[in-house]
Amino acid sequence: MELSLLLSQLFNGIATGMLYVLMAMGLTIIMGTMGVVNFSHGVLFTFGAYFAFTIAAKAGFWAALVAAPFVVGLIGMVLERGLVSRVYGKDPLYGLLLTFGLAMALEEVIRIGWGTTGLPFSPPDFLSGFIDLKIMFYPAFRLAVLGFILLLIAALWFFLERTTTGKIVRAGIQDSVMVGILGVNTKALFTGVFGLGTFLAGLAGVLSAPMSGIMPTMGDNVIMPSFIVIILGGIGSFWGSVTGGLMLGIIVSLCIQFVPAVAELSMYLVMALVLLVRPRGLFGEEGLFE
Amino acid sequence: MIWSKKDILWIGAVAALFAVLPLLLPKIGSSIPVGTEIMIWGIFAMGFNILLGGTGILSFGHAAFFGLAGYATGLLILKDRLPLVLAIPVAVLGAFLAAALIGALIIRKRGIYFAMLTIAFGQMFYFIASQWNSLTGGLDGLTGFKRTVFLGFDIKPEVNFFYFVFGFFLLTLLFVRALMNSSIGKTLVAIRENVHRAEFLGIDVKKYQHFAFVVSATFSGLAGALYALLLNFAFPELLHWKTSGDAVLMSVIGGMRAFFGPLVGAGIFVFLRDIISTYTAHWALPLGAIFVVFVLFFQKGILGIFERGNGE
Repeated sequence: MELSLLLSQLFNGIATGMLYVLMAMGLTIIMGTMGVVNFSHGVLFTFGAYFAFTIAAKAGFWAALVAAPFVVGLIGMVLERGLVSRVYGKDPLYGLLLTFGLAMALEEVIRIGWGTTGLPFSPPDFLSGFIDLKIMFYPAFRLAVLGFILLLIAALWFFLERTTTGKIVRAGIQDSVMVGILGVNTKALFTGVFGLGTFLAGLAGVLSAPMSGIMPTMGDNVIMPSFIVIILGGIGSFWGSVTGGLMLGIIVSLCIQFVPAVAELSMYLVMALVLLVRPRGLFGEEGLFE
Repeated sequence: MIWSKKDILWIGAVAALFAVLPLLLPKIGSSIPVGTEIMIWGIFAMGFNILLGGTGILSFGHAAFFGLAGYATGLLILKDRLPLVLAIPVAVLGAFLAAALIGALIIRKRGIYFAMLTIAFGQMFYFIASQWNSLTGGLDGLTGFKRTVFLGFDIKPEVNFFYFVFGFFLLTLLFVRALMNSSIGKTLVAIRENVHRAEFLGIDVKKYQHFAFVVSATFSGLAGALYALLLNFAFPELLHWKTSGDAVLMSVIGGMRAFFGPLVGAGIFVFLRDIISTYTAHWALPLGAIFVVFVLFFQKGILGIFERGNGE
């Protein structure tokens, strides 16, 4: 058993896990605040990657990295205002159904716009190639993504825990009706939260494009793990998403290396196990969605 | 009586309509297998709606039972050389057992949490089917089995298979109607309308919900077994959560609170898909959009539009 092999898989796991964290964060704040399971999250992730592809062809990688997630977030806000907001206060079932239909339609929009075959997407030149970490060589782009998402998670934490707006968002997750009664414009809050959540999905899409390529169905491969991360961590929980995402990423990556037959399966097994031992998730609060 | 006169009349009328479909379909530019497919999806959706419309529980994982029975039917014919009369019941039993087990694990969860869990467990089956190459043929799917005879009845020709499925279809309509008329069905509706009140009345809510989950999954299994026989093929997409979504879509478009709603939805789904796909490969775009419109503006579905004053 080579140490460098183990380490590089561990790093891969953390990088994939970080992407799951971004996706799950977006999903979980939307779910926590509005009670809507956003099925279109995976498709918006895919949109992020495709926008990045188009923008990068004209203006380079960095422009794509900045602009693509914003475009996705903007689309998210339009969808929220125009469609999703109409099912608030109704049976949570309708939010799920609505975004399911949306996902179905939007995935076809991608096929119409960019075709059904995969597209290549390379990282910027100075981040292609490998970095010598003494014990192993590791793809520079993956390492950069890892660091970038870590910073981003720290920024998100700061936003949610230390700013007034962030406190309002957290209060909204606890009880959005009460937040409205206290005089907060919940309409704007909901649109903002949906925008933030979908922005994160778009960003995750951009970042994963150079690592796994671009395909119309690429969202499918991350939406399921993101759901499982939320189930593992508990709905609405920041640290639950972080822990769940990392756990899942690492377990899957190690399985790919050592027991490839059960790699995809392993995350479902972990989920089943956690459900049996601690049904509300590792960091889930009692009563919330139970 | 487990069926009222009105029930018998309606089910009889629907059965009569379907019985003449093999004569009608080729005349309107369609084909007999389209009719067979509508009945199979009808069985899937009618059974599924015991859970969704009847008990008020949303599952996005029933494709797992649909696909499981589909694969099982193919494998039992192919590897064990079982006759159809045994292969179908064994496959359906497999779906029943899987649902009983998974249901026991997740039935305590509520609402969207439950829906997410059903997706996750469903996808587990999807990955098993798509990766266990030696058994299932992996992503290419399972081929090499053919429907032959069922108790001496040759079901190879399209017309014969249509009437073979028609038998199961009729039984499904009668069973679901009888179930919803029974005290069990009434209890399920009571749970849907007000869980807490049902609990206070001393009803073992979880037991009934679990029952509805398992019964609906058994019908998914039956539909899956028949579907595999229709195509002589089983493939991983049968188990994908998007296939579960199709069943949800049919129930909602047709009207999940109306008895025939899911069947109407199934018919529209199959027809629309066939019609639109002759014009464009992107049939999912208009279908998804139609679904969104229904969820937003016609939540009672097509049959709900005709209902009056029966507000929820």
